[in-house]
Amino acid sequence: MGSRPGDPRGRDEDEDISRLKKEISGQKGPTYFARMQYGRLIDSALQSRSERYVADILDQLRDVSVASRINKPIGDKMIMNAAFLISRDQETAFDAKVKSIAGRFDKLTFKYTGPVAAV
Amino acid sequence: MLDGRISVQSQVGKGSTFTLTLADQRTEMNTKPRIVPRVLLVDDYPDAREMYAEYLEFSGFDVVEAGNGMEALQRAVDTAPDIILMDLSLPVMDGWEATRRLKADQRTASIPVVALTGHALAGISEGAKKAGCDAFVTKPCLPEDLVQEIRKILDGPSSSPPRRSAGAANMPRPSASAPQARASRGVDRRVAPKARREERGADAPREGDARRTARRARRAPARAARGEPRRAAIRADRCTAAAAPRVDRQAAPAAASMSTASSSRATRSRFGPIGIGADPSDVYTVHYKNLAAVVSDAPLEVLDSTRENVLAHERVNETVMREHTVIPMSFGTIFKTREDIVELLRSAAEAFGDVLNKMQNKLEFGLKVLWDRDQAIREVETRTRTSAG
Repeated sequence: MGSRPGDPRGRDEDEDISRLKKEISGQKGPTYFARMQYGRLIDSALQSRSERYVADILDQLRDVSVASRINKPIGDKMIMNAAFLISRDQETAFDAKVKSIAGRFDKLTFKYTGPVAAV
Repeated sequence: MLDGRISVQSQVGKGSTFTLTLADQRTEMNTKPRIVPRVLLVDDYPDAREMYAEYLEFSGFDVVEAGNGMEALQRAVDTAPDIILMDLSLPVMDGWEATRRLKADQRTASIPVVALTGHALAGISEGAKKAGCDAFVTKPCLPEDLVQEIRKILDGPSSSPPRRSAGAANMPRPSASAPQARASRGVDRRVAPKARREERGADAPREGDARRTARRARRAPARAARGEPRRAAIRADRCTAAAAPRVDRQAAPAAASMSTASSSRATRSRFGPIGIGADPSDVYTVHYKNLAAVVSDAPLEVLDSTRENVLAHERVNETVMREHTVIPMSFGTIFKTREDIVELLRSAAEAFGDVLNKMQNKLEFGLKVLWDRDQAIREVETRTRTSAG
């Protein structure tokens, strides 16, 4: 789990966070605004990281699904809330793919429900 | 100059009374006996106002117009109308508020207010009733239906006659002694039209019948040549559609349906849409809401605001009404030709079939991905520390 190698946006963000962290730890006076900015940067880094995860997962599941629908995540722990329409003959492939992705992202928890008959 | 008088009465040790008397010229002007009843027509759409005003004047009423609720209040005080026709959706001050204020003002409280609106929802009529409206008329309605409603209100129920001015008293009625005769026989004109017909005799002509018959006779040959139905039947179609949305097409012989219309009107309470017939012939209605769940891009022209509906209603003349059917919806009224509706249903069926085909042999899976946000934050901080180092 980390920014992809060569991702310039991630690298810039990392540098900003690190610079601000140093400022806060080295500053003797009030650090309120610096801490605020630091929090914003952390939040932004988390957001872009979760978006990358979701894009990655969807990309891998696209081949084994007919359609997908992305719903709004519930709570701050959920980063993806999706439903997939799968052909009956692709059920095993989809199942295997989800398991393989879950194995790769060991820091993420996958909650997998189904199958539910679409008709 | 004002034809007034001042007098003083004083008693030593008790006090003085000063009396100033002035003639109220406005009151005198307003209470002058009128030959015809006065109607205050409140509608912000000039064309609709003009149309109804013209017909009302033609029917023997004196019409005063107002374009918004605030203007209506002023005109009501200034002109003391016998009845107010109030559009509910108005600029500056809406019809509900204007009615509330009229009913709260002693000078105008007794003037009957008829809510005249394009809102066809049940809750709207309840809201109008709460605001103080005496009756509720759903537009579009034929001007003669409106006139009939006005006369009914000005006549008042036999048990409690409402306020009537000299003008209202002079209004022509079907039968001069009919209300008293009905009251003495215990026949309510609103609930027993059959009894009323019997009362005057089935074949006895009513006032205005000759004029109507002559008009129909003039129009009948041309109408028959075009293969049009009678106008009354068209009206019944339209009103039935507004009263009872259905997904089916019903057919009934015209003669039978007309008698049904009469009995339906008879059982309806005073506070309800007027001119409602129950002629079920040639009625096409669609539950668009249900249909929309399946076909989101149904080729329907949705007139989604009351203003648009009203404008549409007013654009549609009698000839157009012959070719169109009104489909009442929860969110408005739609005009479509019968061919359009058939096409709509066909395309809906096709689209539904497509959806079914797409859904067949498919399974649905839900996938939720969660993370430990605190851990993710720690990771971001650790990574930046490492990269900084």
